[in-house]
Amino acid sequence: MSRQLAILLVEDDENDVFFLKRAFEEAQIDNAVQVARDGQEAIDYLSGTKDFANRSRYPLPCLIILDLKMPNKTGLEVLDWLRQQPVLRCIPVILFSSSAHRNDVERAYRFGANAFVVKPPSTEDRTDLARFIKGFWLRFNEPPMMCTEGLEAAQRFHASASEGGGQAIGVAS
Amino acid sequence: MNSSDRDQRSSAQIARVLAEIARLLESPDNQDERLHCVLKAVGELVPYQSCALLIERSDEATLLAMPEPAANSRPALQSSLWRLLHAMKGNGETVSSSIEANRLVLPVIAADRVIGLLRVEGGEAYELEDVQLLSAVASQLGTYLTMVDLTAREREARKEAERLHSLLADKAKHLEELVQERTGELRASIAELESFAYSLSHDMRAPLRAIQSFSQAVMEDYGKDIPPTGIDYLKKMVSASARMDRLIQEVLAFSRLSRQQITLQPIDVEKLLREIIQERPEFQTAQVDIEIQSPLLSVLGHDASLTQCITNLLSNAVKFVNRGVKPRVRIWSEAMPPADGPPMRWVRLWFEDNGIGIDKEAQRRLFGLFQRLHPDTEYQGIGIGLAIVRKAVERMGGSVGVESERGKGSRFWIQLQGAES
Repeated sequence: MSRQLAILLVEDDENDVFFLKRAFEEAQIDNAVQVARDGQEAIDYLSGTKDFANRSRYPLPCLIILDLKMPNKTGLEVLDWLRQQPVLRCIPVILFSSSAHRNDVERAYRFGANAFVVKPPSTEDRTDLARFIKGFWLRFNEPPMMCTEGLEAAQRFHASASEGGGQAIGVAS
Repeated sequence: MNSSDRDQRSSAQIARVLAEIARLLESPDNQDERLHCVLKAVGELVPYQSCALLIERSDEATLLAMPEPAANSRPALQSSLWRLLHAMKGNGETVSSSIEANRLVLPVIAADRVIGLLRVEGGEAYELEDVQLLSAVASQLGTYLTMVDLTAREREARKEAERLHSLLADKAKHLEELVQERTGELRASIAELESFAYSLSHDMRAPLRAIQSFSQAVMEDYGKDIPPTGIDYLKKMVSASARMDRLIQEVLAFSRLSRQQITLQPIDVEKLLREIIQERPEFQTAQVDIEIQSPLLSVLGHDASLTQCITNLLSNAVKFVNRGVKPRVRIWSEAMPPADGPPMRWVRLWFEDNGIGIDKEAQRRLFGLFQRLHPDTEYQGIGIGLAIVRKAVERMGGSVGVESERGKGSRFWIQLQGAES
């Protein structure tokens, strides 16, 4: 269960932020929704630098919803960066895009996306999507340890895992 | 020349000197030096005080003289010999020699043409034998100069051949560069097109999504306070932006069709058709009567493209009927006799409907992009379905057509290569 954990929404289009938050309300998602306005801000948020040093205000998310086409750093660049971070790399990521451009879909998965969603244009579809996200990602899905137990525990776990003999992050239960 | 001198000139010596001259005149290289040596050797055959050789080639004269005349007397010598040469040529007796007591002038003849003269001047009178010996040398010189001339011409011909060859190579290189340049330009314009399509699918859909969503949000949040006409307007905004979004997607599908590589393979049309009908609710028996005249001939095609064609044709057949009429579609295939060209088996797939039909006039523009024949309100459509059919069929190497009359239904056909079965 990850009802109380944060969701990080990385999206440069204010309208899309507005409508997704609205759909989340409609679907009664109680999780805090943190917003990063472009790819660089997402990287700053996740690495806890610049304005995002305060982890209690800006907690690590249990799910990242990542827009594909953004200024500064694109969604794929953020994803590529994220999947190279020793500890952060296991956070689930849903890629959000305006289109199912074949290249984008293939590259997203190769960079380690957990899902690829075309932004629904209608309110009904968007609310449906929010309900599915709630039902699957926030209810049935078990998030990795750093979200539930804190970053330090995850880092300790990572250190012991990389010394050899340890288990990989996320397998612990 | 007195007889004692002549005695000294033994036949062995003559043979030796002539052989020496022949040896000197073997090669075209260092021509002037060789000719100088010849003139020197002539002195051993026909003793002289001075000896001169004038050669005229392409209106240019070369003068060789022994002993070398003073620089200031050289032009005079050359012009007097030049006049002598032209006098020889002019009187028509080109081979005649001029014999004076102490002076011999002999023409040098190359390939039946006088190209020069050889003159010796001695202190004493020359005799017949001197003339004979000198004319032997002159004739050798003529042969030599012919050879030199030929060699030069051959060299020139070879040079010309080389020039032409390198010219050709240059042209080929230029063409290659041109091809590469054009290919590059083409690639760039394709890339531009792709980026345009990409921007169409991303940047242009975002504001559309906002229009649609805000209209819906207004209805949801403030619907109670808006009179029914206002709600109606908002609904029209939603449906218009939804239609625009569909349009964008269809245009993208169309542009993808033009660009993507397809490979043709045998397709069981009947199986494909039944799958398409099964998958779509609007093609079910409750909505439409579809009659397939089995068996349908197989074709060579591209699965996704053919699926798109059939779906679009069926959708049109279902969509464009008079109000209250249940659409009816009959599908059959026909093997076409090969035309004059290579013996290739063509298969025509027919789709006959009981729809509203199409004017002869309208049929010609039916397969173009954005050709809608019916007003928006009456029939839903965005005018790209048949353009996609045509483009897809053409990409599969086939053709498309229609037979119709207003009010009497339509018969669409697509023709593709038959698959050997």
